[in-house]
Amino acid sequence: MIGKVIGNYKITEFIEEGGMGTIYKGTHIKLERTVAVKKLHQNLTSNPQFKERFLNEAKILAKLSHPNIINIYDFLEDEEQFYIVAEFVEGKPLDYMISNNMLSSTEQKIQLFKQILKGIGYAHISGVVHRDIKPSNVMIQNDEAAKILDFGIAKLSDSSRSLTKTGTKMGSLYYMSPEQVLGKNLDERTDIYSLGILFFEMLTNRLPYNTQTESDFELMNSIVSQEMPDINNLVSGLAPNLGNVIKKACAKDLSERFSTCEEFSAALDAMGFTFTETNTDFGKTQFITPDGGKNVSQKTVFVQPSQNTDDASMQTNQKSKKNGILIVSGFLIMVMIGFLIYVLTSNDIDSELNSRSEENSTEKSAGTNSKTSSNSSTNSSTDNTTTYSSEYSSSAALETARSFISDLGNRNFSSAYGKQRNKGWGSFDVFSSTKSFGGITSTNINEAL
Amino acid sequence: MNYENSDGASVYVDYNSYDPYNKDGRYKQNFILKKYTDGWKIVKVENISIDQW
Repeated sequence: MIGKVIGNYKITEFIEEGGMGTIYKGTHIKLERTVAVKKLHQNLTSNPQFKERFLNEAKILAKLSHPNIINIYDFLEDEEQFYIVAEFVEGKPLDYMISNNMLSSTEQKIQLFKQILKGIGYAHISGVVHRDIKPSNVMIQNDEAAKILDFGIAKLSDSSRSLTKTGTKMGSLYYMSPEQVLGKNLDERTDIYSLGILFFEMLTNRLPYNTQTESDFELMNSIVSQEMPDINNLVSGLAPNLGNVIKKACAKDLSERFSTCEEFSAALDAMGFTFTETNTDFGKTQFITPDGGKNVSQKTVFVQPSQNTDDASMQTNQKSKKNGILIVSGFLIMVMIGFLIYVLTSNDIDSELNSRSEENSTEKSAGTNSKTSSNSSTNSSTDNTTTYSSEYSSSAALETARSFISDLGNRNFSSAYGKQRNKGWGSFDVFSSTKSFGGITSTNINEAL
Repeated sequence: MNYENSDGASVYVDYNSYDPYNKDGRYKQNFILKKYTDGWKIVKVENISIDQW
């Protein structure tokens, strides 16, 4: 491929293998302009859906012109291969910079992030949702300008066609919004969510949910139902409202998020940060790590500029402290009352439990096989755990697990998720439209549940 | 079944999954279930071991 001429472009260097194509460095023969040339993977060219997506990427990019979005120069078809010719960006991917601790201060992180917000905000105004925002899709130029790449799976907001329902996972799961995981319709607020996760990672050098799992299933469950950790509990010294801003961006419910990037950016502006670097240990930000903070990766300090803001903040804190004292006092009184009631009544409960226990053993010995442990209200404050042996294999809980695996194997996602419907798992109709488990075609249970 | 009580249960599962888009594999997991008014729901999956091939 190196040395090959496609249209007016000569391929000069291999850059990287991407999700949808191979990226090369090239030069315009006449203008001598350096470009990036993206070649669609050969094994995908026969698939009209991928071809359509590739074309879509070129068309979308061609409509966008913004300093924080990579510019597209050309779209070429040559010997049944498809190429996008785009602006060549000298710099480093944001994911590389994060993992190598190359973002030195919180100020730098926020300034870079606000550029990303500007670029995505512009795309939204132009009717384009990126849908795959993640650090590897952002290049930081040597002059610290952020450039957003890879609108490859973006979809025009007014398009009625969905190009992601192909049974494959689109986008990077860690940055996927709950509605993406659930297969719901997406709009600009999906990008707001992913931006919130990206910002979280920039500030903390970690992702909000457990990434050590090999199970997409578990990660998706976290995205849909698990509360995001408060950034202020992970990084000391950050402005207290920063956590709230990120939480708002990453709200599970679309309607609770910022509706535009401008709103997101304004929330950061409204906090009115100034940043100072310090050379002493005192006041530096320490990243809390599982090893008790021994591995401190980054040090910055945040200062609120406005005295008025400080006063207001202090008043709020004092008020919160008073409220906290009242709540704690109330709680202690309730605990004491509870303890007294327990002491006064414990003899009665004990005797009741003893008598129930005797009743149960009598019933079991009589062969009634009743499941009092599941329904008894009296044993909830004591050890109400029952270990089931095979004789209880008809338990409804077991049946739920068994049928879930079985439904997955039958690709009956509607049924599998329908049975799991609750707030955390979403409803079956939305789960059924996404192949959350990749393309599981069958499962078999190795041991009888 | 690891345990079951009035409002929760844990079920050990061991199954093979055939997945053309990812990898086939043997999954050993604990499903944590919670009892709701309309039945049992899986609320968490704990991985014990995953062997993919």
